[in-house]
Amino acid sequence: MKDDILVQTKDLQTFFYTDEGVVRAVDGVDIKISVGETLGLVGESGCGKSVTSLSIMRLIPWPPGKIVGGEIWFKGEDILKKSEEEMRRIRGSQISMIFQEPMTSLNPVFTVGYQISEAVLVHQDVTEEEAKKRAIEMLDLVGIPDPEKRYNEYPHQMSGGMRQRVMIAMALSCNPDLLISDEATTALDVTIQAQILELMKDLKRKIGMAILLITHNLSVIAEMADNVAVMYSGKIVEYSDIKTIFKSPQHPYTYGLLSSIPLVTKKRVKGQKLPIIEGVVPNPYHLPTGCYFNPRCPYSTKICREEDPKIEEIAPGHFVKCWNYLKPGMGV
Amino acid sequence: MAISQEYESELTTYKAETYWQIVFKRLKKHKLAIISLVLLIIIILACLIGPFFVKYHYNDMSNYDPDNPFVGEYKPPSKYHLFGTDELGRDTLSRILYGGRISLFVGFASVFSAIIIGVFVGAISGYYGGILDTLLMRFTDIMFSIPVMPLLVVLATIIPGGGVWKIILVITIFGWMTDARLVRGVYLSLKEQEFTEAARAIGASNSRIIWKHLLPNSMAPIIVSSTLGVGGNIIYEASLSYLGFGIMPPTPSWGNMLQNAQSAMFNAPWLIWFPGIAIFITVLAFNFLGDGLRDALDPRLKL
Repeated sequence: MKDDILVQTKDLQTFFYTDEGVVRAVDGVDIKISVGETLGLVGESGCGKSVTSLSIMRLIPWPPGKIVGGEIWFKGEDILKKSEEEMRRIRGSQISMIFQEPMTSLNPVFTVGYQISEAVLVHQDVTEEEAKKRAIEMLDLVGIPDPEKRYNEYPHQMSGGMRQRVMIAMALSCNPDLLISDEATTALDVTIQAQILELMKDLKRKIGMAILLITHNLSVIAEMADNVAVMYSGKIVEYSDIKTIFKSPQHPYTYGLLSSIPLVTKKRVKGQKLPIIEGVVPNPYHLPTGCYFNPRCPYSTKICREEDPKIEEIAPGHFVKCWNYLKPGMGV
Repeated sequence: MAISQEYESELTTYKAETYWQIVFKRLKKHKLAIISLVLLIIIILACLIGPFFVKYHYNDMSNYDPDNPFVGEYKPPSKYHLFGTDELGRDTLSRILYGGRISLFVGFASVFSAIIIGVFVGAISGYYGGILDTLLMRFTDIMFSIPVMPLLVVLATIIPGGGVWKIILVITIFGWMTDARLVRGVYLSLKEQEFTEAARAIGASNSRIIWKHLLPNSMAPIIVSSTLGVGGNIIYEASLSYLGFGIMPPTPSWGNMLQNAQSAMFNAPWLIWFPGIAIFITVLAFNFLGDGLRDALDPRLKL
């Protein structure tokens, strides 16, 4: 199963051409998702997580954005070589996406049921009756009680959690091979968030789809993902399976992220502050020379400031992009 | 289970009203708009079915009768001719009702066709943006900068006939630009909404997004603009007819009745009053209704 690759990006580059200059939002990203795998993509705001996912959907708005280089392989075919028409057939049926804001991701003028059945109607040669039946099935599947009645409700009649369930029902209505969840639970409160995550896990088991889970919440990753890619300023800085990354993070940025999670179980001396990563994400118009992380990195050396490191496989399946990984003092 | 709890907490809002129920509820608080709406319904019904009930056809001439001082030409309002008669002895009431059909039809039809063009241009322009937007909007600007009246004289000469359709065509040609700009603005903001992106993500085509997803969302400003537009176009028709480029006699319209009355303005002032009042009330009512709708349809305003 490990070798059954569903999606793979090779040296993906997506740039935005603005008046102030070129923003290299995604700059040489390699990710790989096998059939049925959940890949977590973590990073701070603006690091290119969403742009990566939109690139896979080919939904980068031009102007100003453009995929300028690299390849995206999906089921053995290069997505970037497909026509818009072919892409449209893939979107929603083979690759689906759930968005961050359940409050605004549904069209306010249509019933939720209609919006789900539309996704079916767009892709499958079915009658409206069949699409409706399917939509009700989906509402039931995502745990919405009384689906026949709820089919006729408008988005404003539902809570955020309910709407996100509807979004998931919509995304899954055509049994996609890949579900991209772009901060899908960020806007929800924690109990609903837990329900939605549980639901996604459950559906993944039932349908057997792969998930690209984008979040900046590491506990969500820990809960859900098989593998993790950590992004910083448009590049993958560390990539490995979930256990390795939580046990022995090698990149200083990953380490910083992990140690800045408050843990109830951790004994803390009174008055001790939670460690943070100093500084802010670099301005995309003026990226630092060398490693992009070096101005914030406590371990930065001369070479870090001069040359950008290549991503290296330091152990089977564990990739790190750093000059100084495994230096003493690193690792939890 | 957590789900059922969540469900129960929502039961209170379960029987929520539909959008149009809310809109009507808000509109009801707008007294002037409701009065206008009732008035307009009365006017429209009167014009539609009134001509079947009046005694005289709009072109029937009331003959001089030495025994009855109230029939004949230039007769003031009386029980025989409620609104008086004109220079040919035609019944003004009948002409007002029939002319109302024409004027209202011109008003509605030209708004309808202008909206179709305006929505089409505006939606394409706003949604696609870029060079297409620039071209369409500059064309709109050009149409805006043409002085209408001189061109109408030319158009009226080129297009043969003096029919209703000609005037609808003329008003449409010079009336769609405001709608185009309005709809473009709405689409510019709608296309950045998350649900538009979500629609793209389920694989909906551009045309499906433009016409099926975004158009219903832009109905509110379109409805308001149309309502105000009907009033405006009735005035437009009246002006054109008054200048002699509109509806040609003997077909009555409120506009050409005014023109007709000019020569006898002082001897038979009722010939000015009645079409004038008809235009005044109708246009005012459309404007009040439009204002009321604007408030009622705006979800940000809580009345």
